[in-house]
Amino acid sequence: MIDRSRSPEAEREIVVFRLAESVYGIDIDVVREIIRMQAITPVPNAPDFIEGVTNLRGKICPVMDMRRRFGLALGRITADSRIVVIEIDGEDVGMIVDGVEEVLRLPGSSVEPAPLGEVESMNTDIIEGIANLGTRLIVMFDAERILSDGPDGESEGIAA
Amino acid sequence: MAEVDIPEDDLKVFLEEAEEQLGVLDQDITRLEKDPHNNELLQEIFRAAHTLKGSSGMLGLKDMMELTHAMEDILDKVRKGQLEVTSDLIDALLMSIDGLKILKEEIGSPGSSLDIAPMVEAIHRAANVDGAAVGKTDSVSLESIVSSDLDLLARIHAAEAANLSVTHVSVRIAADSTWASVRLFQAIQELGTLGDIIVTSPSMADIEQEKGGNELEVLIAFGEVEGQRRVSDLVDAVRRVDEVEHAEARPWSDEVQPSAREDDKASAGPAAAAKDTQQTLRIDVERLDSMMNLVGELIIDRTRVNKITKDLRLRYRGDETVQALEEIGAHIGKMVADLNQSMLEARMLPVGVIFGKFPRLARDVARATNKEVDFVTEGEDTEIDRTIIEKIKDPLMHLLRNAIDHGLEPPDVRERAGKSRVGSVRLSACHEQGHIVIALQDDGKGIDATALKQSAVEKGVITADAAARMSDAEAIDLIFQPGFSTARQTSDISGRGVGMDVVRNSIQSLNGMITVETEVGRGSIFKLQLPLTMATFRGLLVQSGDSVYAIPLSYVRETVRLEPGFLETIVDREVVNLRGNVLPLFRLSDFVGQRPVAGAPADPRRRVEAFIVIVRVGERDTALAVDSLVDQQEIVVKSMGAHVGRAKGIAGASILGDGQVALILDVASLSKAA
Repeated sequence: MIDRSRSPEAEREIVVFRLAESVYGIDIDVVREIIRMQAITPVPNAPDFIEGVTNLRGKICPVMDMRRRFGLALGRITADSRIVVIEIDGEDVGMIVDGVEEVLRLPGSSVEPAPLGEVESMNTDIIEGIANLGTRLIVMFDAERILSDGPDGESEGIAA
Repeated sequence: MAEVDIPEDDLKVFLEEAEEQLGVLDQDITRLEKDPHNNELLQEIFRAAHTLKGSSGMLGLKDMMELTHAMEDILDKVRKGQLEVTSDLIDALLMSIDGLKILKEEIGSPGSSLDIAPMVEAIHRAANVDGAAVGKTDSVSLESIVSSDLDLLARIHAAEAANLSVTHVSVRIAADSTWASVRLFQAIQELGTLGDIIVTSPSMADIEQEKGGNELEVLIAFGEVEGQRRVSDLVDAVRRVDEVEHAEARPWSDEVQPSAREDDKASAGPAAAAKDTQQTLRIDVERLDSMMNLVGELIIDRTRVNKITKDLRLRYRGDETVQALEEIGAHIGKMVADLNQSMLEARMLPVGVIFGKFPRLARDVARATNKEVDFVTEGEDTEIDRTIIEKIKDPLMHLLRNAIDHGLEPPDVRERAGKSRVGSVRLSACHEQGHIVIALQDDGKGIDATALKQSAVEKGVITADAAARMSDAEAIDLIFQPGFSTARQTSDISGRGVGMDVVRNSIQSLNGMITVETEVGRGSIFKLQLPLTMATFRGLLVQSGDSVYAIPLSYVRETVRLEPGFLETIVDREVVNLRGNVLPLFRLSDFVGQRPVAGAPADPRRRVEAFIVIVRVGERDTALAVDSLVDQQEIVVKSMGAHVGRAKGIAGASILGDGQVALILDVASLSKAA
């Protein structure tokens, strides 16, 4: 879980992944593992952003397509595609991303609140802020909110 | 129950025990009304009250202790034959138990809303009405003195720890003695030479003031010496006193425990079952569940190993290593199956655990509705998974209330119909072909199909036309429709809140079935067919598109190859006409193909469904169209986690031998949607 009380000076370690043309970051604390794409079984009537479920070493793990979650155009699965498994409320959830770039350390102060409305054509509801590293911008997103509201405020079928 | 400060662990143990004792009291006191001279039962009730008093006293729960103390006192009189069991007495006792339940719930919360005085008074009143007739001294029993005095208990324990035999000596002086108090004093003196006197009743003070009457009970710690001093010496010592008419000595430990332990579990029924739990180890349910999950993983891995071994055998035919692997695989398979079986058994509880609560309910409902009922339970030993047990309690309670409230006629109506005034309601459980069948049978008025149809039409549940076409069985199935109640007037007892639809839904959510057989004027039988366990089930695997689905075999009536000639359309809906039966059709491809799956978009025109699986839910058959039938196998149920939530039509997921995830179909909800 994200430690909300951390000071801006504290260093953060993040996993950087790619979706479409942009790079995104998520705190490494919530990441359980990163796996290659594997068979996903679609679940009828599940919330829209749930792509399906997969067998994660004998456990059933729901998987979402992050493009769908961010409201981006759906992409193709490539050899670079990965499932980033994160832990939310004690349960694993997989995120399909176009590729995982690196693990990065950055000062907490480099993350600035996201300027509302300035992130093009995507849902800003799950964005924590923008990490400005001088040469590039990384969109940081808030894992805790990732399942709380789907695009269009759809939250049906998600247990509290 | 305010200002109590009890360590959490102690409280947890106490609450569990109290729950158990209250359960025993509830069911046994209800039984006692019918069987007032059953000594064993009385002993059991006395023991439960006694234990409860002791443990509540230990924790300083004053109200609880006082109330159980009052109960214990009259129970003691009843078991000694000084008091008759009357319905007033039973009422007072049951009322006190309800009071105890409230007190138990209130432990730890500030301030008590409950005044126990009326209950204690009711008990005393019930005791006095009859107690006077028996007319015996009302000396306080030694048991109740000791058990409410922690010092005495400590002394007894200390004596026992020092290997002394704690002995209970009873003395009676001839009724015509003018020196009774002196004689009692002498008896105590005699006993005092042999051992350490712990307590006497009446007390020494009372005896010295000649308030003692002519009977005496003494508790003495006494060192038995082999070959020299025996318990009988105590009796001999007392007999040396003049005018002693009767003297008796027996070990104290027998007082609060049964003198003869019956080992015959079957004859004692739920009472024995409750007792057995005291000899077993309590395990946290969560721990049991996580062990069960591990076994589930093993089963899945075993299936995978088997599959890989098969592949290897094809590839390296005749290879010794593969052969050895195969042997080991088979052995592991057997062990895993045995382990699974043991784990399932460890999760089993006898249905008596919940059946025990029903006699009380039956009595309450019968009283409230002015019915007379003879309620019997059978097959309490039948074991079933604990998760299932928890979930069938409420449905069964509802069915039982219905059976008495709506099923049974009032006594005079029964009499006019040539039946016994007392209605019979029988709750039974048994194993039947890999299932548990729980049946609730009444000999009441039965369900009138014609009246049901009429009422359903009036309520707009069905059209008059549909009613006319409906068979009796289908009509009776109407009681399971939401918003349908057969009672002319809804009463407090059966109420409106939950209907039979809720009952059916909860049974179906357990992969169970509920059916009803009824005959007007003769009564009804409600039958619940339940799986032995929720953790695994026999399933039929079917393929639709890229996905494999599991259908619980308990729903499957038959599988048929889908011929184009079967398909018909009625009012824009696809149906299957199978041998003259028209069944609604549900295509799994419609269900699955709601969104484009990565890869080729599904063409709704492209129908490749080659089979239909006929499933039955209640009285309703539905045809599920699938691409192909894959296999039949044991399915391990896995949770999909809270994030997926409850997807309509899906009951869960499982992992197949090849590692693929198969979704488990929620047949009941699909059948509704079709």
